[in-house]
Amino acid sequence: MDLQLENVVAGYKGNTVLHGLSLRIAQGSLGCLLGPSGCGKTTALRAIAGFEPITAGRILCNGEVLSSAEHWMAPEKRGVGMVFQDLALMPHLNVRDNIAFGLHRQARATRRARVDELLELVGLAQSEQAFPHELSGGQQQRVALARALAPRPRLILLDEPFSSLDVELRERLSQDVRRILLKERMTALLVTHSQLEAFAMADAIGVMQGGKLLQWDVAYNLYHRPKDRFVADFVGEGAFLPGQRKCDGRVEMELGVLPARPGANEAGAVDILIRPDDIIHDDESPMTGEVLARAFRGAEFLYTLRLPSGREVLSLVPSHHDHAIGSRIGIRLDVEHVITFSD
Amino acid sequence: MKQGSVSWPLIAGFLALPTLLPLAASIASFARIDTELWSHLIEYVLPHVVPQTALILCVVSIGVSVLGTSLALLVSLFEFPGRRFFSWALILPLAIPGYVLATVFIGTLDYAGSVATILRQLGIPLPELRNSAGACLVLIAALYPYVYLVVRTSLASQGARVLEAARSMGLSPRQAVVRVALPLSAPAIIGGSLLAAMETLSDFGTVAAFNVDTLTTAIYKAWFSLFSVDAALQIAGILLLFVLCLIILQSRASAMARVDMSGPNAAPHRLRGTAARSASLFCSLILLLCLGLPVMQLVLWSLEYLSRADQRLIAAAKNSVSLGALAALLLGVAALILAYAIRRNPGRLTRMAMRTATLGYALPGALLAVGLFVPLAAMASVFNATFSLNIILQGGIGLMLLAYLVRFTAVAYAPIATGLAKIKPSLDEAARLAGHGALAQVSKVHLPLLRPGLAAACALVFVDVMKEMPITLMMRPFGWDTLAIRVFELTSEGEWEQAALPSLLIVIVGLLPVWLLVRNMDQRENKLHGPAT
Amino acid sequence: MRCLFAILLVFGSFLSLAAQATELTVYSARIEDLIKPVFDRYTAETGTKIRFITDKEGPLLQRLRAEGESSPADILITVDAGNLWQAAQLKVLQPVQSKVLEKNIPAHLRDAENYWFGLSIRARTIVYHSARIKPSELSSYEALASKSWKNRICLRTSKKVYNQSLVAMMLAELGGVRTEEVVKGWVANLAAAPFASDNEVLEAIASGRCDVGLVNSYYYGRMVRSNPDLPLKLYWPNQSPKKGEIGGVHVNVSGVGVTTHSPNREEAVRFIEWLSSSKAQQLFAALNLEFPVNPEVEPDPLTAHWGSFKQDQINLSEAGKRQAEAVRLMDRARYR
Repeated sequence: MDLQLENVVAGYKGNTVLHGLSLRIAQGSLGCLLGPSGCGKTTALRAIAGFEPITAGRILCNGEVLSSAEHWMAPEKRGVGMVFQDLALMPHLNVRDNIAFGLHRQARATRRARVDELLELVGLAQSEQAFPHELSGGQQQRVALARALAPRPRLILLDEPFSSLDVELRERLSQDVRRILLKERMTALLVTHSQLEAFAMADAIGVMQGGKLLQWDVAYNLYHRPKDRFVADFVGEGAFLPGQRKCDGRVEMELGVLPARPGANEAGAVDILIRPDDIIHDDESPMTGEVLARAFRGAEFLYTLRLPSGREVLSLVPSHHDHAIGSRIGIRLDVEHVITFSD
Repeated sequence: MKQGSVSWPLIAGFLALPTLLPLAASIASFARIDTELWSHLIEYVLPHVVPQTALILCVVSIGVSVLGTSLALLVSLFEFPGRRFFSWALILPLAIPGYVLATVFIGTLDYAGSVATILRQLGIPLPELRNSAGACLVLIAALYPYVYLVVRTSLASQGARVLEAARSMGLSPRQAVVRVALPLSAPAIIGGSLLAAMETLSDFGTVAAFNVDTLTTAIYKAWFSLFSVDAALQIAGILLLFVLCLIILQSRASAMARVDMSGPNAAPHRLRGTAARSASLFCSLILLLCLGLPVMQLVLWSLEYLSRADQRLIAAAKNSVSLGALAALLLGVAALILAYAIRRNPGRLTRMAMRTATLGYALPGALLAVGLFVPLAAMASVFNATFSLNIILQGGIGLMLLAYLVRFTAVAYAPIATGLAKIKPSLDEAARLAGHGALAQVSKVHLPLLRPGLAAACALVFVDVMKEMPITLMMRPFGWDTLAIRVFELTSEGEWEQAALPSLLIVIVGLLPVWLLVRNMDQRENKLHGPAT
Repeated sequence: MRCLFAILLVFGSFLSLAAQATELTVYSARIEDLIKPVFDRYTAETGTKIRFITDKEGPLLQRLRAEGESSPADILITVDAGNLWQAAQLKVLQPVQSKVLEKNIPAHLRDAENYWFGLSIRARTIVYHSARIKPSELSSYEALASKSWKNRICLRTSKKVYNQSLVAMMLAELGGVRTEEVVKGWVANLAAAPFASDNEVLEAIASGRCDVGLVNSYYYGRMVRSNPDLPLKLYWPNQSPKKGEIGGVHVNVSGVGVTTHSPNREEAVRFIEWLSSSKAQQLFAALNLEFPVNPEVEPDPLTAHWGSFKQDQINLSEAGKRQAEAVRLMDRARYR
């Protein structure tokens, strides 16, 4: 099915949380709302689930109106599944009963078969009699997912589903969840503040700030073609360097001159987004930066460098180039995507 | 977040309605102030009674808090010989009515009492105990289980784990108790002591046995001796001011943060040597004083009158049990609805309705009975033709239950509200998305998780109804006996030793649900949070 | 399901309790054990069934008032004349003209306007420690106020109606100034704070905590019946009253009246007349070791053993009329 939000406005008691949110997730794909806490992403999710009323706009599902300012469909009628941030597992029910919780309207045999199928899918067939407190965090997570999937909802919502897990488990589980969702051909919307989670799972990601959707795009574009300074800053690492756009569209800056880019061409002062992979370590280069900090990342070092102007940039360098803090290394600019923002 | 078109404030208001009747009667009485009578009360009665009431209230509140909390902390956080036994046995004194405890206390420890006489012959004269100090002691002994029960419940699932966490941060066990466990259980302590304080305010039997004057005895004096129901209702108005202060204090205090941890509980800290022995000794002593000795004395007194264990007493016991069970059921449901209304709509109106509905616990029983009966009778005589109302008027079970509803909602509400607060709102939403309606949410999610709270509420109500006298006396059907009425009948003519048998039965029958409650709670905790060994 | 069934069953049994029958309905502040045998005797003799409810006086009176015309009650039985007077004041009783009652019950033990009638007499009298006190040291209630009794007397609380009635009768006969002087004297002479019951007063005397006390005669009777060795003796005060003393032993009654809206008035009057008759009187009084009101009836052997005594002859209505005043006086005297 196909989820559509049209200019959704929501909020409580004079405090508007969502300012005209619009997005669309196609059948079988996984969307994600990414943003810092308080950006309105959870409110959006709860509005879709039917737990928050909206004051303007529409939420549609396959063209059917779920919410509008005048119309509100009860959450249980929407055919929406949800994995809660705190998982909300029923502490008094075992794994099997938790998964079967939403299947109460189905015949015993169907219910049984569906639960068996899901236990298999999430790999918990051995623990079906266990109670939630007896499971590990990852197992609890999978029970919550299986429970949400069980009634075959039209759409599944995931509210920061991995926030209580450790980083390693997060990565593995997010892959598992994506695999399971794909297998079930489920349309899903994920809400998270972690870009790694978003990148690992989502087909399309929307970055939100202050109740507004800044950009709805695939992960590659968010990173390399951010349309907004906030998006550029929030997604991935990087630095902004000041520069001057000439009349011919080329941009002059401390590290050199960047080629013209079709589109924005007004002359004037601009800020240029420099990603760590835009700065190449080159001993031959006359341009140098002083190593302020370094972080070992296995195959690479992430160096924080001070330019002669005093500004700082990041540079991703293969890890056999081991430079001490305080030393000066040669650098060269190699920008594939020139991203500039004028004020 | 709306669900259906249920108006929760309205439902809560409906439950508060019966309580408004005696309240309205009290307020209306202020239109008829007898200035001459009041000048007497102000000059000779209130200056004595108001400070004394305040003093007893303070001492009992502090006493039950200290005793109940220290016992609860001890059995929840520490391991010592007999801990498992004490853990449930310390709740049992709940089943002993304050007036019974008072009589045993005076009958043994006052000058003419058996123990005091022996001690005096040994050259150890006891101090005078028939005063407010003695009344406070007995009230503390009778009421500490309220605090103990709620604090113990609040610590049962995670107390030891919190202690462990605190100690991992370098706190000694003592520091951990003071800086972590106590603040953690503050809402429970306050909730439990508020119940005890309200019961203290409305108590008549205990203070009357000590001939100590309080606002409640002043109410009875104005009514029975000065023949002024109005003045009684007006003094009750003053008493309600006390309650108001208590409630404001409580809501201030319970605004303190609640910590809620989930996950398996840790093992209690093992006490060794003297510490372990003193812990066992302390618990034994309290149990002996509050339960063992009084029950032994009752048994001794009953032995002479065992022949009185006739058919009638058995019938009275049956009535007591069925009445208690019915009331427990009714109040369990009512308090659940009230707590649920607050959960769904925590607005000002709902809260006000809840406060009103729980006020009745502080009103003296006889006044409450009359405050309910008079307006209901007035209504009934307007609709005189209606047969069903006439039945109610003739003193029926319906009216009794209504009065119990007014009187004991506070008792049932406290444990249920605490239990409900522990259930995360996301569980409601998860159940809802799973297609469960409001009723199914309650039956599939809340009820199973609330079972300890509900069991506590029902057991408390059951025991309280078993002990209750004035409402039962006034509203029971003709020729209908309960154990408490047997006790009243015998004691009102001073036949204390004959009253021992029905008193003992009240205790025994009351012990049963308390024991079941504790077992149920402990099993439940083990199942949900792992064994607390 | 089984649980629901059980609940229905319980409810059903309660409903059947409400089923009505034509019979006399009694509201009683006298406890069941002291009235039921009398009712049973009446039922055996006449076939009229009696159903009853017991409660304290205050709630019973309020209940009668509230029920008004729809009250099922025919008869009110209470202890203490003060309560009977109050019942008449509240108009929940109606006057009964009956030659039988006038003949059987002495005038000072029934209402002048025939609203209520005493059924049994209880005397509030002096009990003393027989080893410590000689009867010659005793004379009257009022004499106990003199300084010689300092730290020697025990009293029950002033909240008990028995003491209120005694003080009210003093007020009627001796006036406010003298009565207050007496009560203040008692309070000054107390050996212990006032007790919650007459039994405790008796125990206090027996244990030697005090020498004398004021109790109702039947409490004394019961205690010495079950424990004849106690060093307790009964004394009839005010047998030759001086000035400033009441005119005899203070007696009170437990009494009866027909309710204003009695559905079976004639049967109710017949029942009260029967209660004043010799055979009923004997039983009624003996149940609680009280004295019969009907002078023709012999008292119980045990009570007779205490000897005859002169009663205070003032009409008991005075006790009701002055009860509130008496309570205030005791408040002023700090008699708790």
